Amino acid sequence: MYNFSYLKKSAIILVLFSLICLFAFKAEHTPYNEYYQSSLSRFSTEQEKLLLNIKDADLTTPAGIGVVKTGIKQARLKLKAIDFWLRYLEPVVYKKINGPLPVEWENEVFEKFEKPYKRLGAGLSLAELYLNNKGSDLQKDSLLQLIRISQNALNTYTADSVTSQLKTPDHFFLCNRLYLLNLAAIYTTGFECPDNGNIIPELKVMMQDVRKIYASFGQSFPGAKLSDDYLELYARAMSFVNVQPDDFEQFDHFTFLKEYVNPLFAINQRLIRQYNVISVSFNDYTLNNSCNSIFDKSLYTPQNAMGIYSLIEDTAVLSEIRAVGKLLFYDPLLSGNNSRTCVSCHKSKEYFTDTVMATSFNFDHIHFLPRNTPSLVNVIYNHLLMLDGRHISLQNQAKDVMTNPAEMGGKKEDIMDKILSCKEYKTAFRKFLKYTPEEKEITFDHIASAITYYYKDFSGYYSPFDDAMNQNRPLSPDARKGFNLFMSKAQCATCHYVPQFNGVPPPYIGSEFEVIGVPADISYSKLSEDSGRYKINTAYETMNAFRTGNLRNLEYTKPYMHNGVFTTLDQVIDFYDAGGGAGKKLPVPNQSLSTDSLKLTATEKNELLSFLHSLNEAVIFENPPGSLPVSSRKELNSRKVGGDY
Amino acid sequence: MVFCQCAHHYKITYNIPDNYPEAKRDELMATLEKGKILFKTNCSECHGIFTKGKADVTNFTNAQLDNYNSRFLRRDPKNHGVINKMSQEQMNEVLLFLKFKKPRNPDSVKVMPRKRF
Repeated sequence: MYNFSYLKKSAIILVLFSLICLFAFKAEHTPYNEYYQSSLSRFSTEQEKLLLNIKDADLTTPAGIGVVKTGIKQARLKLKAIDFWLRYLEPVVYKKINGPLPVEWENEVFEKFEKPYKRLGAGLSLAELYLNNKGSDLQKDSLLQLIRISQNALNTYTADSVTSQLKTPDHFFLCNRLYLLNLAAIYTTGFECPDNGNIIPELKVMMQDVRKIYASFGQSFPGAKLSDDYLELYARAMSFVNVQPDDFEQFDHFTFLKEYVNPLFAINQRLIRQYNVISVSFNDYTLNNSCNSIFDKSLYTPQNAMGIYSLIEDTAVLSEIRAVGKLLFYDPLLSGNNSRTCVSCHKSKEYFTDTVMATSFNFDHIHFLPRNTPSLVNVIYNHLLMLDGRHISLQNQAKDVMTNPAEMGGKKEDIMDKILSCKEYKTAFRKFLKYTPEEKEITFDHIASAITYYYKDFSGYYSPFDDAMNQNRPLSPDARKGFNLFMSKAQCATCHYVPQFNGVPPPYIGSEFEVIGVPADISYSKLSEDSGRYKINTAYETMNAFRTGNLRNLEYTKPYMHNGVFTTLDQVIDFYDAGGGAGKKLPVPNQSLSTDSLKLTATEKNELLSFLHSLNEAVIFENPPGSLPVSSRKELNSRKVGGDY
Repeated sequence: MVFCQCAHHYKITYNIPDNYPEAKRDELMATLEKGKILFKTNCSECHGIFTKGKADVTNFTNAQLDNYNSRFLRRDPKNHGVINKMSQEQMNEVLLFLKFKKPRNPDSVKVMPRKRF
């Protein structure tokens, strides 16, 4: 009797235990998870082989170097098979596996100020560059170290914190979104791929391997599948790529993006909404789930132009704030001598820049400022403002200009007094104050936020290139060829990223800086003396670095470069064609732009120009206000709309 | 009338560390005051203080506040609509207010009458 009971109890416990095991470990053994683990192992094995290759190779002979290069090539293909996950799940660690630069200063913003931080890259791209550039100094240990760091970094991806995300479908659609954005912006351009000959072959393999990821995901998560229309279009995208030439200069970047990548992005966004996908990653913090095209300006959240008025929803009040912002934009009361306004440099009929002067007048009206006036159109799509990235909010930038002794030369209290001496302003701001109850009185922020709220509207327009992508409008064959050059031979797209063509790469959370060696004058007698980003972050890599500019409306926003040295786009293209400052024999030891000539032909340069002109936006500008608010201080009423200089 | 009495009972005081620089105290107090008003206007409908609902400003732990801020920064769609609209400065003010406010001592705080006005 006793024995029987004992057996029964044991049996029940055993059954319960096996049930628990079954449920607890079930998720670990989905086909999806297994495919993830086995793909990681395949890359790891390839890296192990590469290490042995390097150890055995005689790096003093071309044959030895050739063996190592082949090893790197093989490993890269296995990496591309898992790039889909690696880049999204741990983007920081990814830089140790396939970082594009040995030293990178990160400028992720998250809308709060953090000092730039240094990250050291490692992995396959850097190993390949090391082999290519080191010549006779080649150290085997340094090469081994680059691969070992990468090998260690890969362990991160087997940690619970990463693999636990694979248990639910959410991460998949977010990985896929980043994959599609990278297909649009970087995978076809040679960013992180030193050998241009491998770009398209790698793309072909990667697209096939990602389809295997799709298949294993579909098996494991039947309730959250990729839709049939997505898979069908993806298959067509693969067929398209497979018949394209392997040379990235011959690859049809335009058709790939327009007919395949962008529509795939739209379907993936639809699925993100349909499955109510939730992100736990900081990678997605600017991306907007309701956007249906990479070329829609709602793709990522721009700068907050509302500032202190952020919580106001009443559209009538908002349009009053905008009207006041416009008056302030043209009002010289914001300057120390009542003669300068925002529009003095940001001319409203010239795309809010100054197309005549290389750099604007200093406040003293004698000297000149060191830098060219940037256009305010599309400025909201930068995460860092000013050419050296010193500000993270539009409002701080506006306040800086008003009080900068070299620019508008005002003093905060003085400006406030003058503005509030005008009845029209005072009444308006008193009204707005009611909508910002946390403020006891009218502040400088009320003024700055009204100005930024006014000018942000001019960033909402589209260009013929956007219309071709979004609405299937025709684009001239030259502009299409120009875009293909932009993405390949001319090497523009490795810094000016789709879709804003500024220095903000996917996932659109940080602004990049580059050292290109802009000369002080058009005869290239010396390098521009402006140290740029170095003023904010003193590091070897940031000397003479500037925030990458936006290429939209280029035709109307001359002169070009941080100092306005070039007055025509031909000069700019020649500068890049020659390999930047270093290519022109200026001393730029830290130039981040390739110093080789691009070898562009005259026809190619014209095609490039056609494409750049297709980025002109149909911005509708407004006339200046007829008059400015009357002040109770009589001496202020002689001021002019827009100021004197 | 009831409102005034309650407001009197629940006067907010702050825990400011002794070593906080003297020169910056006024600035901090102004920020905390802004945070208090923003909280009152936008959050207290559900999270206590001044009006009906829970009796006091909820005591959030620092971990909760940091967590909330990170969700705000990555614009978590599950987050409150009103909070997602706030500017970063406004959000900082609210979080600083909640961090520096003295936690409620259950013994010294009278429970607010739960009846409607």
